[in-house]
Amino acid sequence: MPNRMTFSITQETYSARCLCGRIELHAQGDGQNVTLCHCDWCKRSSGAAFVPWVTFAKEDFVVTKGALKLFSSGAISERGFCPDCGATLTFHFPKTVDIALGAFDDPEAFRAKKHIWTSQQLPQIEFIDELPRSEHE
Amino acid sequence: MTADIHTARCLCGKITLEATGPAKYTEYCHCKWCQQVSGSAFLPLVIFAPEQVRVTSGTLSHYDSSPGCHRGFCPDCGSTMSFQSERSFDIALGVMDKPEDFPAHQHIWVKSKISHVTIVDDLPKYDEGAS
Repeated sequence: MPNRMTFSITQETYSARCLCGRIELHAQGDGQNVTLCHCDWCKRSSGAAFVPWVTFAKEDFVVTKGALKLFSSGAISERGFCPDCGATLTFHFPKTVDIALGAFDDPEAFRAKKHIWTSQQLPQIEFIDELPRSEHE
Repeated sequence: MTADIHTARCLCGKITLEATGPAKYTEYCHCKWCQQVSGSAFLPLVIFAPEQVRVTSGTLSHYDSSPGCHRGFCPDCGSTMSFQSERSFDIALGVMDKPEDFPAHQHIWVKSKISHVTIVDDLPKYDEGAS
């Protein structure tokens, strides 16, 4: 019997899934580490103008259904997507996993905290927030 | 006289698209399905007629999110690339080689917009898809 949920009960558990529903993800954390990434790689991967990522510790992340397909997008990073519907789902570093905002069952639960890679931000979308901005990572 | 050529490619570069002639328009889609497939808060799509676009390298994989609606992606890197129907071949803005060339003309599926995305422009807004 697989132990699917080993989390403590002091933090929120968030669920996410791809468009076709074959992949489901769960993560636990405070949901506060939310980054809008404007890099060209995120734009290519998502097709969108930027990607909002919610960051969790690797040990607080679990794939509860299906299997991610991983694409190596850097020396120590991988991008996870659904091989059946192509949904952009995750970004993996050695110690963290980011889940794309659009994949969450309740994306309203999160608020952006910062912008990164603003050196590659698209000019036609204006951000009216006053969040910290970094030109690179 | 040279026609407008707009090129697009996925993250790994195995799939390239080429659109000839001007885009019909560009729209920001706020539907839940576009949020789920892109992972983003909304998906900007550049709308072309089907005959304007061809796949110049690689082969798109497709997922049919509703009958007659084919969402194209790269099977190797997972890039979200297109939305195809009988009426149009839409290319996701983020895979265009010059995404800055395509300002938006309208917002669709605003009824499922994420609440913390605030639309401050005066573009037309539609609760669902525009006809």
